[in-house]
Amino acid sequence: MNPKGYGGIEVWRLFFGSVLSGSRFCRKDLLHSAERREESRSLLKWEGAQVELQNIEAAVRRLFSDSEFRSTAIANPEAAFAAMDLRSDEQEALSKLCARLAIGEEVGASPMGIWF
Amino acid sequence: MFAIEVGQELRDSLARAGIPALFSNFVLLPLSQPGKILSDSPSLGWAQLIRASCLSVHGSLATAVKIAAAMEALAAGLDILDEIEDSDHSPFVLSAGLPQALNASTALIFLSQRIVSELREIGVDPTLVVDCFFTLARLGLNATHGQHKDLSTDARSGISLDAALQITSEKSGSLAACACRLGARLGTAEPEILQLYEQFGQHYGTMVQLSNDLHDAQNDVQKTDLARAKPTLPVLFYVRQLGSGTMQELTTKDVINSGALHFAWTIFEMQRKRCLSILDELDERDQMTAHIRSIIGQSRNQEHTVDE
Repeated sequence: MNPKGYGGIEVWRLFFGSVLSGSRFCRKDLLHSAERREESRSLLKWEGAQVELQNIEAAVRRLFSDSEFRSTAIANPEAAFAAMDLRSDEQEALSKLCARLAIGEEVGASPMGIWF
Repeated sequence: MFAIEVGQELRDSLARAGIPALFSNFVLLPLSQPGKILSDSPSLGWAQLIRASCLSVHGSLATAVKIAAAMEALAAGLDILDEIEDSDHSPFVLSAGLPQALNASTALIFLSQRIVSELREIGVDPTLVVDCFFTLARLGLNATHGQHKDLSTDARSGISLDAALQITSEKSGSLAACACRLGARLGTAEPEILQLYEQFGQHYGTMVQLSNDLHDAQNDVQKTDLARAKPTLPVLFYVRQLGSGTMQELTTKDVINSGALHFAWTIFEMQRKRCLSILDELDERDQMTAHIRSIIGQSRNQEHTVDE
C-alpha cells in the first residue's frame, strides 16, 4: 500500500466530511489529520513491508555535497530540513547526525552483534 | 551467572543425549569463540535478550536458561552457515574444514530442538512448548528468507534502499524478534503483548545488524561486504551514488567519504528510537522493561568513532 495514498484518502475524508457535516475546516481538524497521517506512515514504515528511505538519503547526500547546506544544517537543522518531506522521527535522527557533525565526530560502530 | 547456566545447559543437554565428549566439545567450539556464550567474556547476545524479556513479564528464569540455550545453539548453527555462505573469514571453518563445519552446524540446530523438547520433562506446559517450537520455526524461516534475498542480490542490481532495509530486518531482526518473543512467552500468553516484544526484537535486531554493517563496510580485510557489493545500507548508499550498474571497485575510503556511514547511522538511530517507543508501549501495559532498556543502553555505549 502506498502511504501517500492514505494521505490522499485522509484529505478527501476531511474535505467532504466537513462539507457533508456542514462544518468548516479548522486548525484542530487539520492538526488531527496530520497526526493521523503521520501515524499511518509510521505504522507502514515500521511494522509493514513498505518503507521509504529516499528522503533521508537525499538529506545525507546534500550534507556531503553542499557545504553551505551542511553549515546551515549544523547551525539550525530544523530550518535546514524544513523544506524536505521528512517525518518527525527522520528529522530527529538527522538533527542528531548534525550534532555529531558539529563537533567533528565521525560515525561508525564496533560490531555489536553475534549474528549475521 | 546466567551465561554460565546457559553454557552448562548446552553441555548437559548433549550429555543427556549420550553424545561422546569429543563430539560435544567439537559441536560447542563455535560457541566458545570470542564474545560467544561459552567464551570467557560473552557479549550482548541471545541469552541476554531472552533473560531480559523473561524478567519483564516475571517469567521463570529456570525455563529461560533452557530457552536461551536453545536459541544460542540455533543461532550458532546459522552463524556457521552464514560465514560459509558469505565466504567470510571464520577461524572455526578454517580449522574444522568445510564438511565438519557444516556437520557441526547441523548438530547445533538439532541440539536447539532437543533442548526445547526436553522442556516437557521438567513439567513445562505442553502448550508453551509447542508455542516455542512454532516461534523458532516461524521466525527462523523468516531469517532464512532474508538470507536468501541477501545472497541472491547485490548492491549493483538496482535494489532499493527500502528493500535492502527489509532484507536486514528479515535476516537479522527476525532472530532477535524470536528471542524476545520466546523470553516473553515464559510469562505471558497475551497475543498483543507478545507481538510488542516481537516487534521490539525485530527493530533491535535490525539495529544491531546495521551496527555490524557499519563496521564491516570499514573492514574489507576480514569481511566481504565491499568485494561482493553486499546489499547492506552503507554499501548500497555508495553504489547508488556511482550508479547501480557500476563496475568500479568499491573501497572503504570512498564509502566513508560518500556519507554512507552517516546514512546508515541515521537509520540505526531511527531503529533505536523505535525500540524505545515500543518499550514505552510495553510500560503502559504494566511490563517491567528496565532490563531490556539496559541492553539498549549497553548497545549505545558500544558505538565508536571511525578513527577508533
